[in-house]
Amino acid sequence: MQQLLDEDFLRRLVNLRFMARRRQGGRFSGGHAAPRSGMSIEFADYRDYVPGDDLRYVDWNVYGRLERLLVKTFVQELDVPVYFLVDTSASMRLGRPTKTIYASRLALALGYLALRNLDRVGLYPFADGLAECVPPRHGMAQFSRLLRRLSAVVPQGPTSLAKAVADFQTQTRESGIVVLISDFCAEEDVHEPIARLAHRGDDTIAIRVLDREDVAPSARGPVELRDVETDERMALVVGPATLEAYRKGFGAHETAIRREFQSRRIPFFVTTTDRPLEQFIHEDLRAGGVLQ
Amino acid sequence: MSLALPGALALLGTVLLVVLFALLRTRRRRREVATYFVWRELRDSLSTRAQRLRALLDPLLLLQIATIAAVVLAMAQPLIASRRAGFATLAIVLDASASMSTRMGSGLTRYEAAARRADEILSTCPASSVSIVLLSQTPRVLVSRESNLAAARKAVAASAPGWDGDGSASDLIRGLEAVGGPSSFEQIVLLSDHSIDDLPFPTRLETFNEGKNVGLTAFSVRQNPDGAGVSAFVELHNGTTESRDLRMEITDEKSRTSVETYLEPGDTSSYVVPFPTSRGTQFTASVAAHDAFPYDDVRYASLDRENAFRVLWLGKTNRYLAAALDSSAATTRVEAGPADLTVVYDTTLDALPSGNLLLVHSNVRDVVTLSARATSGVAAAANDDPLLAAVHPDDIYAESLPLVDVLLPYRSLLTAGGSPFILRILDPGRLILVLPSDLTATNLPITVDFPILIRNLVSSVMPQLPTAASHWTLVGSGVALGSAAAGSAILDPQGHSIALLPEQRAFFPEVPGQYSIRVGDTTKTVSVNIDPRESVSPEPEELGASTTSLPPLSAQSSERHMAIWPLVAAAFLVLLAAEFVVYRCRVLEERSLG
Repeated sequence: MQQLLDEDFLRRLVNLRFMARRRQGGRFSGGHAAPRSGMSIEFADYRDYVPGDDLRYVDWNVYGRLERLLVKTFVQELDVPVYFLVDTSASMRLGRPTKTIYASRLALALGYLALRNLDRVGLYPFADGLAECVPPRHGMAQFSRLLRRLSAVVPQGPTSLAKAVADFQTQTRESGIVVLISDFCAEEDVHEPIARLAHRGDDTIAIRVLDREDVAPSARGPVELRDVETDERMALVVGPATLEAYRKGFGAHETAIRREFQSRRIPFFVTTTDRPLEQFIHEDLRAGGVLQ
Repeated sequence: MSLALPGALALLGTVLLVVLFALLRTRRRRREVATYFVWRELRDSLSTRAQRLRALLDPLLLLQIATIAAVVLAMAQPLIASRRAGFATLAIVLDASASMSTRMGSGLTRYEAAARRADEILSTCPASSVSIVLLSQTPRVLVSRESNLAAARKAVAASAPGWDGDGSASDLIRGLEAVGGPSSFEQIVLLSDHSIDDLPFPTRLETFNEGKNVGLTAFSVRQNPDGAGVSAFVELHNGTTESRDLRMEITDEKSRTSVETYLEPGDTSSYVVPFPTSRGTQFTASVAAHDAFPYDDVRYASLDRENAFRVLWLGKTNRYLAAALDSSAATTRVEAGPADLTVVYDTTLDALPSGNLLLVHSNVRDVVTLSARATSGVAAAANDDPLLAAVHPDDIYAESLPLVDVLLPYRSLLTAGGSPFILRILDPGRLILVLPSDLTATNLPITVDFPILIRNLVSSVMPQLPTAASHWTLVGSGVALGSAAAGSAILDPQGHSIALLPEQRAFFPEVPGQYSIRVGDTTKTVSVNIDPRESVSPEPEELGASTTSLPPLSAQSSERHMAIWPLVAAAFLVLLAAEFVVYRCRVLEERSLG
């Protein structure tokens, strides 16, 4: 807890609320409006009375004016499972602080908000597949489980988002809010896993966590580059032209990812580990409609 | 461009260390990346040779190399050719001593070569102000602080060496003091055939000492104690690289003698040359050397012989007798007064003259009386008187002899036919020799015995002579004229009269030779020679001792220290320090972030 989040930080987040863009139906009452009417204090609509309806919901004022029995319906607020898919591949151990730490802190912060919103929160670390998961549950005790699990994460292995999403959807039958946190620094095509997430109806939020070195490398001169995930190596002389070409190549890759998410209407956020987390939450996620 | 301390360039080797460190530092650094796939696309297209080259051109490495180079250059003190007008003040000292007349292999004399070098310096290394001093024992200012270099060059071209000896350090200082002092010159160039030791200021010495010489390095004459001629002392030096057969000749006003000798290269030999027939007072020694410096092949000496044998001649003259007297001693005819010998020839005197006396066929009233011819015959020795030393009476024949009647005691030395042929009157305190016969009536004048007899006579009556030695002086040395020059006259060796000022007390001969100085009624000969030290040139290895570390004169320009290099080195060091500070700050910042 002390290493990932501090209490002051969490206190500053209590006024925020996790917003689902789609109405998700959960099994339990929660803080999210369900796609079907139900019992809550929020009025939804009128419908004709049918026998068997609870007479408590007949609007007698309307009957008095129109002599028509109408039953008031209310928005049913149900809990929505919030799934955190956190990338724990080897590439996430780079950065200062590491991308893993940043991603963990982000997941804990958002999970804390979700738990406070009476949602169930689950954690699904992944690399080339899902790792040990924390199934979605209610209550602040879940926060402790999340914290322990994230504290135990050791970033390693290559990234396979497609396999991770496939495993995730196999393990979780219920759609919900999927917060996908990754650096997306893999050569694989993200089309398939994104399509999978969209197809099941998950309300997906993609957050890309990068190291500043990923965006603007400081390497100069002759270097030996090693892929942190595959251990592949190459010798290269890095000069200004190389860096410029890198920036173009990296920008094209990010554009392709962003375009893929946007085509699925999935909000896509990018941050770097040197950026304050609170600033990112308030300025990007809140402004982007993820939080309210 | 040249370097004052070329050895400092060895420090450039530290560049290799820096490059080595740089190579170690720039060895490929391993970096883990998450975006390997992006880099891989760049590898083939961007990792070109040009980029590798640019990578090697590390600005820090270039800065370090530049710093080392600047520091090394600052230590090496580069001298760059300067187009500025040579020197602000330049002094050229031309050696004008006699030895500078030595002819070199190029056909030029040393002085001509030095003058050409001076002209070259003036034309290619101009100065704002130039002074030219002719250095010798009597230094002279040729040009004093002249800004018109054309005029200075003209003066150099018109100058010539003298016959003085080499100038010393004090002479040089004296010459430079006349044009402002040594310290007033930025550069002093000494063009000479020898170095000058113990100079208290830096000079640039350029030497011109080609030319091999054989010369007389010493000459003196001493009168023999018996008055019979002189002995000459000669020293001869062979400064060439080959053995020489040499013939020396000693002459006076009338006669000469010679001696031949052989000298090995570099040898110096002394000779005592007998000159018994010399009756002169002016002597010349010469050697036929045919060398590069002929002016020391002749040397002069003079001998004061005031004790010349004084002869008072009475009666008729006789050339045989006069020749015999002159060959016996340096005779001086006196008309009256005291004489060392009175010759009475074929005459009659009323009284016997005082002093030593030679009576030849003469009468002296009441003392010596000649009468008619009495006899004839071959001479015979009557006794062994010293006057007959080496005289052979058998060679002497008298055709007729007069009878002689001598009232004073006498002794016959030779007789002929029983009559006295030569007799000696015994008068204590003086010598009186009587030859009664007419010389023309005997064969005496044509015999060798006659001059021997006269020499014996002269030797007997010659006063005791001091062993006078010759004297001479050096060119440029003062010769005292006495209390006043008024009435004095000086003739130079060519016989030209030298004008004297009324108040002049001395004169300074400028060329070697015999000078005649007449002061009042006396005439004196002054022999003047060039300094014997001018005959011996220093060996090349003996030169250069006084050569200073002054930068060499450039043919086209002067050289000066580049004062900018220490500043450049300091600037680079500051840059390097700044780079280090920035680097450390960055490292500390990264550590704090980590």
